[in-house]
Amino acid sequence: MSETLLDTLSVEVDHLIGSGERELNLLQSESDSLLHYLQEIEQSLVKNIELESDTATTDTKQLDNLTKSWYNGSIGHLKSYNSSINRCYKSVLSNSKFNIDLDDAYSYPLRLDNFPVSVTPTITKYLDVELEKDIEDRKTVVRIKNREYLLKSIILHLLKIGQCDIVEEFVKELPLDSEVTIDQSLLNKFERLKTIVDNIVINHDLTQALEWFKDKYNESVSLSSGISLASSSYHSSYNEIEFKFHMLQFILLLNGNGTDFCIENSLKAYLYSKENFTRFFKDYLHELSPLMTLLLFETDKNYDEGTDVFSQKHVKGMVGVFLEKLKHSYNLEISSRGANQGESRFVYELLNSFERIHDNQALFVNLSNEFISEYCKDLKLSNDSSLFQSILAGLIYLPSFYKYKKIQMKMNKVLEEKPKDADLEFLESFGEAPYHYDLPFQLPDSNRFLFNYHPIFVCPVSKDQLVPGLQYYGNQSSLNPSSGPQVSPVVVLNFCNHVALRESIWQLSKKGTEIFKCHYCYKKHEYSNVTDAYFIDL
Amino acid sequence: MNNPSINFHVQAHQTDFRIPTELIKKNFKSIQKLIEKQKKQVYEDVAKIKKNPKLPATIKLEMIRKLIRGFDQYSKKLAQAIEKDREYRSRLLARIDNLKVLEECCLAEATAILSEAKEEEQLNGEGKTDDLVDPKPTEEILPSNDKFLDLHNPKLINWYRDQTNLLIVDYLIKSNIKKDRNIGISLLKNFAKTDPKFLKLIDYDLFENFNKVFVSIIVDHDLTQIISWFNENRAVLKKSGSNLEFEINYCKFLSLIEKGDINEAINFSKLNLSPYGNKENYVDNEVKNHELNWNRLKEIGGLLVYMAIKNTSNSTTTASTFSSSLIINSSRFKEYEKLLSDERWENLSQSFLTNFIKLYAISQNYPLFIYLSIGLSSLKTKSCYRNTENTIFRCGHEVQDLQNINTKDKKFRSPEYYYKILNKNNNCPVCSPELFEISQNLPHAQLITNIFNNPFKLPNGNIYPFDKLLIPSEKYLSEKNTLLRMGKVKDPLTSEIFMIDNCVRVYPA
Repeated sequence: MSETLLDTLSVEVDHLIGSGERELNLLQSESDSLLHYLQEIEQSLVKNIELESDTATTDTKQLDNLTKSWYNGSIGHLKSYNSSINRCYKSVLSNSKFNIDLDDAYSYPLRLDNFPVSVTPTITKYLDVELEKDIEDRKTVVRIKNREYLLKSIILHLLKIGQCDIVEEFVKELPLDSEVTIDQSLLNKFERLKTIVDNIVINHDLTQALEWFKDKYNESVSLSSGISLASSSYHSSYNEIEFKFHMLQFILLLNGNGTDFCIENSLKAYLYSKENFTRFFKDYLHELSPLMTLLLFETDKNYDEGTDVFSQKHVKGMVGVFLEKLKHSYNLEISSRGANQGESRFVYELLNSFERIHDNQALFVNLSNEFISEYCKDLKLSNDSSLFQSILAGLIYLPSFYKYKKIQMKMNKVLEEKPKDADLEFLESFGEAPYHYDLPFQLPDSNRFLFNYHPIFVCPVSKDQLVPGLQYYGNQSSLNPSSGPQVSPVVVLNFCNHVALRESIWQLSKKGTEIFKCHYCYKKHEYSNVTDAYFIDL
Repeated sequence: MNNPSINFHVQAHQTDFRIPTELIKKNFKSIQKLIEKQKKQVYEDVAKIKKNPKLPATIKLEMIRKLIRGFDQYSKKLAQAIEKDREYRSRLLARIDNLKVLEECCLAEATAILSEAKEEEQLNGEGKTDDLVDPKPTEEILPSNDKFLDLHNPKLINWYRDQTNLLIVDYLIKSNIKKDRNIGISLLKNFAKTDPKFLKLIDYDLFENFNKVFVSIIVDHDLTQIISWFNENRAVLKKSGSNLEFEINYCKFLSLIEKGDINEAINFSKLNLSPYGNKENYVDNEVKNHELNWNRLKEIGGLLVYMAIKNTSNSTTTASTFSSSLIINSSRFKEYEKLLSDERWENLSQSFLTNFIKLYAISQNYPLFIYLSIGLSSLKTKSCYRNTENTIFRCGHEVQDLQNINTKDKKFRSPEYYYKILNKNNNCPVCSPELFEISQNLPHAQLITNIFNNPFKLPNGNIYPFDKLLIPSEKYLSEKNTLLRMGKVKDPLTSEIFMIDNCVRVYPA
């Protein structure tokens, strides 16, 4: 078992830091002690002058020696610090094991400048004149616009992470453009979000968040009693996350303000649960019961002030054992049950740290993130910062891109790969990537669960990815012209219900002339034995 | 090494350790200089005292006091330098601690990832059973000293959130163009209010200074800052074969010419540029620079002629001679024109950028761009569209009113419409209008089929997730439940009502 890179790094950095602290302190003290000595000489000279005895000759030899030893000492400390610095260079900074060049993973450059660019009036002029400009100018325009887009997505990111006080500054960075306006009402809502989130994360105060949930609940109740929207019933209500908030609030009440439990807190928590938990009984009985059990320990602990220390200890110990058992069995239960996994984990975490709930800062941070996502959903915005999600994907998939580039470089293919240059140049300047322009490698699938935003259909025959927009369909080649413009790109085979792209079936049936077999089950079909299909997620 | 592992992040953070160490080294050199200077002074003074042992006490006292003053100052400067060093060391420490968080977010074993992948496949339903028999090619063996990260761990995701914020700050500081303020710094300070460690995780001061110098060149056309930056780093730059000094001098020369100080320009060039023509003044690793500089120096004479022509053609506004107009329109003339345009400032700024990057081993591209480009390409699907709703910025053209439309029209079955009609939120980052634009030129990710569970086809061709379509709603009397009791289902998109018996389960994979 070899050391991890992090271990090596940590050891080396520690060494450097230790050496710096030590040697530089010594350096300082060398100077201090010399200074001290000089001051002594000064005082003795002053005394001599006062005594007007010129006899006491200062020991110049000693002065000489001391300054020399100051110098030699200082240089010595420097030298040994220097060797630590060099060691760090050698074992880490110049060590090829630690070396990767991030630039190597940048195979698909964004149309953005890698250095500060001042937007001069001459360039802004072009922004309106989109066409009839030479490529260089169009490139510049695209780059300037993209910088603007990036800044906007940063602004959205900041809003969603609760940094809205700085957003005003950012808006000043955007080029003045009358076309773009900011939705002020949304902006105001983000200010409310910030207060709520700050309250959760900093003050551990959930009241405002709970209030928001209450508002939303009432809204939805009044909505559904009226004319129900066609779709409203397809969305999960706020149940899951709201449940977590109520549970945490219960625990917070149980904890009270002080450090010790007391009966009043239990009462508060009990009343709270009575008022708020009923709604969740149906779905969350399993989670509720162990939490409610916590109420009992309360009274146990403060059973009687008169009880002697021994019995208090005894009770405490018993409670501890019982709690452990409770947690354990609960944990076992979670894994055996499928439903409500996320919520169950949360309750488990609550059980785990209910006495020190305020120390579990991560719990509050995570919950606030979940709240943000719920809040954004309500505003019809995506549930997380798009910029963060993209960067997250970048952080996760960077190894694949890097590896691909390295393999390419090893095979010296980088230069030969360039016949696409014209294409790339075009893309680089202003084009849209065509639909056949794919990454040349597949990404590992294990972390894809973070990013399932669209239902994806890849044709089992042609391996092409479905382009679901009908408007693009006209661009695809060689389709049955008689089928008209509004045909679906996906079809279901009538006899076996397997799905494929129409294009593939068209090819399989030799342009509709022959009987073909299903790619999976070999059932025979004609081209006319297929029906249109559209994937629609709810 | 396809999945994110600790080692990979350690490697990707190399620069974070390099920069403080470089700064420590630089500071170290200045400490060394400080000591040497002090030593020289002290030795001289002590020698003086030694030479005249019979000096009167008052004079001796004076000399000792001078020594003390000298040492006092030295001590103060030393303390400052040590303070700097301490700051840089604290950054190293903070960065190590930051990486150590990853150790708490690992998968227990490298194989865990595999079993998990299988589990998910099983969840995704049938049609994939062969994969279980035949292990996927994604199986990878990590060196024993590495560990995969557990992306299910919220702690890790929060760690990535911080990283993202740092990347944004890094980009903003470096790319700032304003003279009076740097938005990146403001943002960093805002972050630091809640989490002071941010100040330790990025070398903001270095980047801010870099940005200031850069802006002073391209916006102010001012050389003072770049000259002082060069002088500060002269030794290291020289060692690495930098051509920056020539670029600065050349730029200055051109500016003198442009101002019309021809004589001064000539004098300046004699003194500061002509040595660059001599090959012997270059070391081995600078041969390329010589060629480059030599070619540019050769043009200087022509430039002077150009100035002369330009001046005369300016003064004789009326009838210029045919020959001079011929010259003015020649391509050579245009080149000189270009030489004196703003391009020289851009060239100088680029040269500065290259030198700076090399000095601190910083990536050429903003790290934010690298991660963003990879992220967007990995997420870009062929189902992505410009989702104009997912922003607070409103563009001129307004969103189409979807209240009174015939939803049976097939075009509404494309994601562009059905999300809106169904009141469904699209969480895809590539679809957000801003990132959609930025990702225009990027490739699409190669994906595998990933359709919702139990796809269920209605007679009109619409395929929905069975569970969501048919799960009874909470209210007993709702329309949906009533229909269900009659064995019917309503298409949420088109509002058509079908018999459930006429619907079929389909098999996309």
